[in-house]
Amino acid sequence: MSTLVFLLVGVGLVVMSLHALFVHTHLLRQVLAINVLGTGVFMVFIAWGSQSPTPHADPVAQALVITGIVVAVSATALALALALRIKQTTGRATLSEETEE
Amino acid sequence: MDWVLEASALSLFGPMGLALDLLLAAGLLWLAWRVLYSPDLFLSVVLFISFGLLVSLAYLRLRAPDVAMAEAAIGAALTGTLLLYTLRHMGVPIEPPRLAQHRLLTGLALLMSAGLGWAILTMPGFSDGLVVQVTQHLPQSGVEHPVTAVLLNFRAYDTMLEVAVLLLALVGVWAVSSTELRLPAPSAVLRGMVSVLLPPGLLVGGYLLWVGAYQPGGAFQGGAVLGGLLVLLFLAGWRALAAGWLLRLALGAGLLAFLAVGVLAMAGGSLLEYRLEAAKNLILFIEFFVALSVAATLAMLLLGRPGSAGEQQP
Repeated sequence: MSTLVFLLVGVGLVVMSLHALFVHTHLLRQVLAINVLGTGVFMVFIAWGSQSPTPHADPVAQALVITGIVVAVSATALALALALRIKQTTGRATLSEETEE
Repeated sequence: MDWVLEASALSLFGPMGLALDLLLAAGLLWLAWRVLYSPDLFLSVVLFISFGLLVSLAYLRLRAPDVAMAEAAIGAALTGTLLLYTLRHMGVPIEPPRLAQHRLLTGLALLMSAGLGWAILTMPGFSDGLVVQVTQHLPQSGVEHPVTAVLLNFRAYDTMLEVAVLLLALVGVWAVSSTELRLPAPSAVLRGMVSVLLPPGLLVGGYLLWVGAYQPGGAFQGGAVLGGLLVLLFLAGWRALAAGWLLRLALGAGLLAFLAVGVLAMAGGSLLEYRLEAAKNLILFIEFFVALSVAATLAMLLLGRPGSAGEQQP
């Protein structure tokens, strides 16, 4: 039962964060959205792997998700450093093309 | 295996378990909503940390304690701290988020959730082919915990590249960040707290690293705890740790150890294929240096480039 509940939570997280990624323009909000998106995918993985007959969930899925979490934090750190640099260089926290009058 | 017993006692079945799952699911979706759409960006970031902790609870419910530990330490705490740090330097925007024209997007999102939900509900049944493979070959891996066996033996190549990605990310962060590491003078309270926290922290980190061979835990979870300790040490004034070659050696040690073992093992077979009698020691050797590198890299991702304080000294 846990499996079904958290599979659907994963879907909900993916859809919500994808929507947020498109509607937000602030770079930090976009980084947040990508992180929640990744969490949704990881949750689907682990929920599916939890059907394994072993005491713990599917070890291959767990190993993949641990790798994913570490890679996600690396990418987030790089994205945040870039966002900070963009803010320092342009004075804006977005990538929009609007000209400031 | 005490832990397994505890885990099965923890995973409540029946209506209580279902109620807990539904409560967790509702909490997760609500928190995610607030994280993504709250007008106050600071609130979003703080809620993101609590969201990560709830996600970690969900992983425990799904019988994945290794992932739960990684999510709590790295996904929630470290990512949250990185976001807080960036937010402080970028400044909190005063105006609420501007949303692009979103009626069409909302429709598309609803359509997509229906599609994804359908795809998931109609997935073919769970195939335990890989689980069987891992269980069968576990005695040949040199360790007793299946997740560690996958990470450091069966799929060691993935993990080696992951360590490389971590190092590359740090190089990228150092390359683009223009701000140097500036820390406030440490207070006496912080220094006192660090001296209390250091011994148990080292013990927990070392234990997690060591126990990964038998039970949930391992290089990444242990490394994350040690990384947190390193950050505390820096904040408490141990700047000398960040200076010079010692830090750079620690950053590269994991990848170097991995490569060295992989290439040496090639003499008897192919890359990263250990001989059975040496496997356990090789895995522990790699894990020790990977944990060191993970700790140093995570701490430096948080703290930014080592400042001129360390490098200007004659």
